[in-house]
Amino acid sequence: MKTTIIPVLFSLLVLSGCSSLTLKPGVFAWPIESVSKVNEKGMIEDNQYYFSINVKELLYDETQDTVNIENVTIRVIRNMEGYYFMTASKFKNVYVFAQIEGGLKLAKRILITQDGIEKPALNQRPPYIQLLDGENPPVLLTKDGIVEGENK
Amino acid sequence: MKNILRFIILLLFSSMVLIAQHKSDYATVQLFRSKTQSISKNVDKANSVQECAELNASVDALERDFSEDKVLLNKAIYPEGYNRTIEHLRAKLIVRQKDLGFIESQVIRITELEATVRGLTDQIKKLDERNEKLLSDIQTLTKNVQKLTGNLFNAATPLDSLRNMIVRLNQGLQDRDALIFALADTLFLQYDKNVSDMKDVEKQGLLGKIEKHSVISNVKRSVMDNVAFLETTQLKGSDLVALVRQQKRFQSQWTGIAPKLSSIYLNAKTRKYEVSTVDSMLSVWGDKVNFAMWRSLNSLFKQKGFFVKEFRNGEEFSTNFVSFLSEQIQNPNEETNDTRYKLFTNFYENLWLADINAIWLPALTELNKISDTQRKNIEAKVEKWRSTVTPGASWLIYVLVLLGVLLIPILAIRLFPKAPQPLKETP
Repeated sequence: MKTTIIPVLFSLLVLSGCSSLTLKPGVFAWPIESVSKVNEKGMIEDNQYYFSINVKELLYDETQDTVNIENVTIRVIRNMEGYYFMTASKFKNVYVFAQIEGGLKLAKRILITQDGIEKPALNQRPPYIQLLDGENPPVLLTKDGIVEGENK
Repeated sequence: MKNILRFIILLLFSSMVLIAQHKSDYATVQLFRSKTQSISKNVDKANSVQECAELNASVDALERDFSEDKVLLNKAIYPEGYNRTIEHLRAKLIVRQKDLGFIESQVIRITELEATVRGLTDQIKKLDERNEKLLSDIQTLTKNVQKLTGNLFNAATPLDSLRNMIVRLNQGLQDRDALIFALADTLFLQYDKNVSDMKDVEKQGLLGKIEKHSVISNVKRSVMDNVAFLETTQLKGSDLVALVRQQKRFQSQWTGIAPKLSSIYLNAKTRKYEVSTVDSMLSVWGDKVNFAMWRSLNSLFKQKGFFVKEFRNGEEFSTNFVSFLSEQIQNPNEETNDTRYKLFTNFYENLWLADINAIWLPALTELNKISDTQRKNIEAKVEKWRSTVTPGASWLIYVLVLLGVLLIPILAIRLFPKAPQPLKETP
């Protein structure tokens, strides 16, 4: 009996010490968006926030084209919760990504307009992300979708 | 009810927020960065006290223009942020000034003048927009009034609003003219010396500023706007006299700065071209405004029913008007006294006192269109005409005489009643 109880108690102690450490609250918002051109390998690199990522899959998802990817300008901003919002000129959607180990995973694809966004710009407006498109009315976004404004 | 009110306030507030935030933060930061870099590079290249002053004013403008984005810039530009970027630029400029051996007070004085120049340029731009809008409104309203002046014309036609717009536009044009010459003067003041004493480098610098602030283009635009105003509004009488005065004042101000502008152009061909273009535009404006003035005076005589031979300048006006007056004095058609008296009274009360003597003669003398002698001659002729006419007898006079005859005995009876009879003495 003793031989079974001791290892069980030991295991419980170890597990509780490893799994319950949580740091909250955290603010991950970037003050301004990062604007980078896609290189021939499908990568974007930012020198202010020091990150780089391959966006080939994103471009394919939006345009179904993996050939003409060079020089597309991708705009990225991170909201307070740490989600990444990505879009580009002529995109119909704003993509919301969550960070995973060594990459980003799609959390939500937000349809903005079937005609494509002409002049996108992303602003940090806590707790929202604001999407501008030239003279069109601005749209407020969260990781779950559009908060204010309607699809055009 | 409260909920509706709250909803309306919320709606208004959210729309205000949306309008206020309708610009890209990234673009704002990029603009700030590029302006900062440009100023920094120019500080490295600055060689004259004027250049340093201009850069000082540029830093002031940068600080002012981006003050609303201070929080954003402090977050987005790491580690300098907005405040330290401005501080760095100022420090860099002071070091440069010291390296070049410029005195601080001199730089400050020229910086103030530079700030004045920028302020004037901004005001000119604002006036340009306002005047352009007013001119277009006047053109539209004039067309509408012209359409309405058919069978539909009535007292409700918006002539008052048109008049009001014309007054505002005229004031706007005058203000703009004044600002342009003030701008040119301030630019020359920064160099604190005669153009003839300036080195070629200084002339080049001043010319650069004159071109940057579009002095000559602004002068040209002023002339064009004034001509457009004249053609659109078709003013009459004293308003036109005021326009002639404006044109003369503009001409004399241009005559003041033209030689200075001319002498800073190192290239003689450009110099000749720029100055002569403005000269010829001014001459066209002068001709148009003079033509409009004489046309207005000619039609004034016609409207009031006096047939003075048409004139196109001061000399012709004087000759033809005097000849009209002489004819009235000589009375070649042997008009009756009564007719002559009526004609003179009509002339004197409706034309002479109201318009010619009150507005036109003083203005024409002031504008050197006629001489003092010519004016005195005209006045003398009018007096002579007055002395040759006498009121004729009319039925009213006969009635008055008759009334007088009847009233005299009545008044006499009233004023001198019969003396009281002496009382009889009783025994």
